[in-house]
Amino acid sequence: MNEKVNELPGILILSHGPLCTAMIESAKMIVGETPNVTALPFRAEDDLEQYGLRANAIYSAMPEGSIVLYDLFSGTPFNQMMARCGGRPIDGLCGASLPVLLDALSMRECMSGDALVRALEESAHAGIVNVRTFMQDTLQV
Amino acid sequence: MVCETVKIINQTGLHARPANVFVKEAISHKGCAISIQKDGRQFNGKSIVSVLSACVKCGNEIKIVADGEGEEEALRDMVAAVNSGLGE
Repeated sequence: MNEKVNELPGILILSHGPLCTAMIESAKMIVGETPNVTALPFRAEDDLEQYGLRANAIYSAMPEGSIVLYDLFSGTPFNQMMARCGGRPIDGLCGASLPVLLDALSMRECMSGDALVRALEESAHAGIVNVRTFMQDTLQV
Repeated sequence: MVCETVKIINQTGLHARPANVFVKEAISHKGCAISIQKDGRQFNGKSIVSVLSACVKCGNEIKIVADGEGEEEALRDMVAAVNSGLGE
């Protein structure tokens, strides 16, 4: 791994089940390789504490300015990350989606940490489109 | 600030993969803000979600705007990328 990749802020994605893993696979179809991105699916058989500890350990090993994307606010992956982080600040966003991940993958090359998460808040909103409204406004249907 | 209008030549417009190529090129110009204008609206050229929101089809014209450090070079590179088909 070269120096540039090592300095790139990491992205940890936590989800109920395989959503986080599948999101990375889907993103690869569009952007190619995704260095410094880790998925940690929470499975029904997983121990809660061990999951939280593992998530925190992965995040701790990532470069400064790394972020965490959670599938669901107040869901188990989020709750366990919070419960085991020891109160240290963690930059992250709940509501992980393909639009958010795609922007995170590119924007992390010029921003990190809280600034990156704030930019991704806009991406999250922009990635949600009411199709009926779109058709009425754009296609004059 | 410099700008130039270009025509999209990609058969299926600016869909995800060419949009990603566009954004990658824009992000490589770190000190320079890159945006696109279409139908009176402005979109962030460094966000794939924003670029896709422009709904750019084949044959559409977009105005690329570069503002900041190295803006002339940035605009030249962005225009070249679009005219080369953005990797397609």
